[in-house]
Parts: sequence; structure tokens; C-alpha cells
Amino acid sequence: MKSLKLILAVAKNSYKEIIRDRILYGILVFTVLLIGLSRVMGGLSFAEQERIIVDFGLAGVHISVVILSVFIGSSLVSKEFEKRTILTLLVRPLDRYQYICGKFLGFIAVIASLSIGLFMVLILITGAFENGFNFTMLYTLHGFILESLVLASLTIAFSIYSKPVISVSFVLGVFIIGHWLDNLNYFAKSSESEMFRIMAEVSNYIFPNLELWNWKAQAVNREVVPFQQFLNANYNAIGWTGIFLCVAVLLFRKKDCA
Amino acid sequence: MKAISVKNFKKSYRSEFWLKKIPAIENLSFEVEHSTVTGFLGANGAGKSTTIKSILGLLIPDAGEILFFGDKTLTAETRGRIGFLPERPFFYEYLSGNEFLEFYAQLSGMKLGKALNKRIDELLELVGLSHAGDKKLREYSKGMLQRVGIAQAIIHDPELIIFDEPMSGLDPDGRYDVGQILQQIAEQGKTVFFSSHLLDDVERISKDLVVLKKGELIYQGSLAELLGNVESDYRIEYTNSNELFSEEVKDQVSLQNKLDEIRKQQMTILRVQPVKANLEQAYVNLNQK
Repeated sequence: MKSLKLILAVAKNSYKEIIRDRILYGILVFTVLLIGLSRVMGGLSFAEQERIIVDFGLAGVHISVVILSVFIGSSLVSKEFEKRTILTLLVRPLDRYQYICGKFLGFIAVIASLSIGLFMVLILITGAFENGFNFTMLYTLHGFILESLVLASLTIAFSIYSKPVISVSFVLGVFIIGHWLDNLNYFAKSSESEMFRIMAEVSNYIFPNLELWNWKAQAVNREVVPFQQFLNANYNAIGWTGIFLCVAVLLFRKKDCA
Repeated sequence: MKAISVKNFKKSYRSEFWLKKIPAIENLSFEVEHSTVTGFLGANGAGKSTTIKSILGLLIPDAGEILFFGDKTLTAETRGRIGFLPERPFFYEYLSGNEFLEFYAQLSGMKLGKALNKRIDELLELVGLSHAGDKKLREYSKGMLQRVGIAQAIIHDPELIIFDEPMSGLDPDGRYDVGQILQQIAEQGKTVFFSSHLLDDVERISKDLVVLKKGELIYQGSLAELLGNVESDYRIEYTNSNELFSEEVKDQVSLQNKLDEIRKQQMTILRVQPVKANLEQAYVNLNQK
């Protein structure tokens, strides 16, 4: 109970830190503009207007969630080292794992608030159309939050020892590979190179498959996401997040806070 | 009871990942008595901050044992009894003074409510920031940040308070005020352990000293004892009726010789005064040994 209170205190402070950061509002304005643009783009098509609006709108929310997870996440812990605020935190009865969990929780709370807020804007826009909103869009939003859990935990793990620029580069690399894994597996199956097949196989274990949480196409095509697939995706995201957070805690336990 | 007991502590650094480790502290052992004010001295790079951070578990020692309040190791319970202000503190600038202290109180296990609000008000008054509780920390001056930093260090009423260079970078007024606050804390029976380069302030506030040189202990003991070891000078003021002279001599023998000489020249001795040894002199002597 005491431990949870400490985690929540760090989470609350972390939430305040990000919410009061001007960069967040930059991202917010950019996304709202992108969603607004989806309406303009939709207007270009006579038959597929709703589909285009949903596709563009969801892409806008997705981009903002990824930017937030990677860019703000990369400086979340490193900023505390740079400004040396970490020194006064860790001398309190606060364990290092509680600090990491608190930071992560606060960060995820911001991502969830932002995603839901932007989603509401999207609903307002698509809701104006007869067939604009569909239930699968909610799954898509959930998928974005799952992806951000994984990316945020990975960014935090990287940022324990690396500078923000390096963390961002690494995580964007993982982001690209993670969205490309299905294609890699497809090519590996038809490849004659044993080495390539082994590499693809290994990649499945060391990189999270980010396409597992991508239900954008289903939302655009108004398809239903199978419940088992949805459940597996949740387990997968929680698993990867857990692994990355454990790595972050293990690295942080060994780190000198000078 | 010993508030801090450091035994055979060693710490080395690697400036780059692939380079060899460089020793920063070698076999350091010292103790800080309970309810005392102990100054921690040493030149730049002597290892003061490294030692303080290792005591607090921020750096991981290579070897050695650090105990608190007799025989306790650094646990969450022990950390709850310690307060700390780092050198040149930088705090969460987006928080107001009140929010900042509330956050640190929560981290120390204190509950939100009227009692905590009262404690925050008391502390802000103690550090002279009653007017700035609602201001964001980004609007605080350097001296104000130092004061609010002291408030966060003592918000949970710790028994042992460690300050790393609490007066560095402050103007004379700020230094005086921080010194006064430190003295007030010490008067409450708390153990204060602080590092500083400002020897006048250390001399004014502390009773005991720990002195480091290149990562090794060169003195541990009382300030009075250290000053007692320094040979005092004497100042003689004399006149030949037209002009006033003032001269300093090193020891008793030189003093007597000089007095004889003045008498022979038939001049009038106005005053002979011992010049009290100060910490600066004692510190320089210690470092030259």
C-alpha cells in the first residue's frame, strides 16, 4: 500500500510535468490540424469520403501518440539526470523500481488522456457523417494505447543509459522494424537463404510486432476485430511492456546517479 | 551514537566505458557524531560530493561499509530519517513552492491534509519564503531555490541532514541567511553534515570537521582542536610619538625579542595582541603536511 502511494506520487508529478510542457501542446495542435485535414481530404472524394476521413484521422492520432511516446519519453528520465532532480528523489524512501513505475504510469496517463481527447475530436468530425463512426475505431484507439505502452517502456529503458537523441534513434529503429516484421516473415518464407530465414526468426523474438495492435485497416473497412485476436494482442503488449520495464529497472539499479 | 559511520570506503570512476577505472576515494573511514554540526572540507576534486552521494546510495561504492544511526544500513526506513540538499539544486520548475514541498512530503511517507499544509507553511516561514508558496519555482531566484531546497530536505523532520555546498553561488546576504537556517536546524538537536569551500562559514557553523585530500582523510576531529594546533601570531602596535607602527611576529621568542628591540629604541608599546588562528590558516597547514 505504501509502495503504491509512492508510485502514485511519482506518477502524479510525472503527469504534471508532461501536461505543463509546451511541446505537448505543439503535438496537440499538429494532430488537430491533421484531423482537420482529413475532412478536407475526404471532400476530394465523392464515394469514399467517410473512409478517407477515418483513415486520415486515425493516422493523425497514431502519429501523435508515437511522437509523444518516443520524443517526450526519451527525455522523461534523462532530464532528471541532466537537471539532477533525481538526486533529491532517490534519497527519499523511494526504491528505484518505484521511481521507474511511477514515471511510466504518469507518462501512460498522459498518452491515454491525449489519445482519448484526440479521438473525441475525430468522433466529432466523423460523427457528422451518416456512416462516419464505427465501433472498430475504439479497438484502433485501444491498439494505439497498447503500442504506446510498449514504445514508452522501451524508450524509458533506453534512456537510462543513453542521451535522448540516441534513445529516439533506437526506438524509431525498433518502430520501423516492428511494423515491418510481418513483411519480413513473408519474405523469409519465400527466401532460399537459410541465414535470412534464421535472422527473421530471431527478429520475431527480439522485436515486438507492432502490427499486432494496428486495427486501422479494419476500422476503415468497418470490419470486426476477432475477440481472440484482441485478447492476444493485449497479452502481447503487456508482456513486452513488462520485459522492457524490467530491463529499465535492472539497468537503473546499477546506475550511478552523479 | 554515530549518525554516520564510513568504513574502508572505496570508489573509482571510468570516464569512458572502455577506459580503465580511476580511483576517486581510497579506503576512507570516518564517523559523524549524533547531534553535531560537522563540516566536510576538501579542495575541488577531493571527493566530497562522491562521498556524500555514496553515503546516500546515489553512487554504488566499490568496497566498504556505510552505517547510519549506530548499526543500520541504508534502507527505506533509514532514508526516511535523512534529509539531503545537493549542490546547485535544480528543482521541478513547473511546480509552485507549495506543490513542490507537498510532493517531497508525499515521497517521505507524509499524508496530505491540514497537518501537512501547516508544516509547509511553517517551513516556508523558517526559510523566509512565506510570500512565495504559490509562485512557480521557475520564478524563484538562486537564493530562493536554495532556501526551498533546504525546506524539502527537512520537511519530514529528519534526524540527519546532509548538505552538499549549501552556500555555493549565493551572495553574502544569502550565505548569511542559509548559515542562520543551518544553525537553527542544529539547535533543534539534529545532526548536520555539510560540505563547503567557504571556510569562514564552516568555522562559524560547525563544531567538528572531516577533511579530505585527493580522496584520503587528512583530518577528523573538533574544530577547536584543529585551531589549537595552529601556532598563533602576535600583533604589536607601537609608536615613536610621531608615527604609529604595527607588526606581526610568529611565536613567544620572536615576541620577546621584538619587544626588547622596541624598548631599546625608546619607543612606546601601545598594544600586544594575540592574533587568533583561523580555519583558513589551519586548513592550509593541514594541506601542506
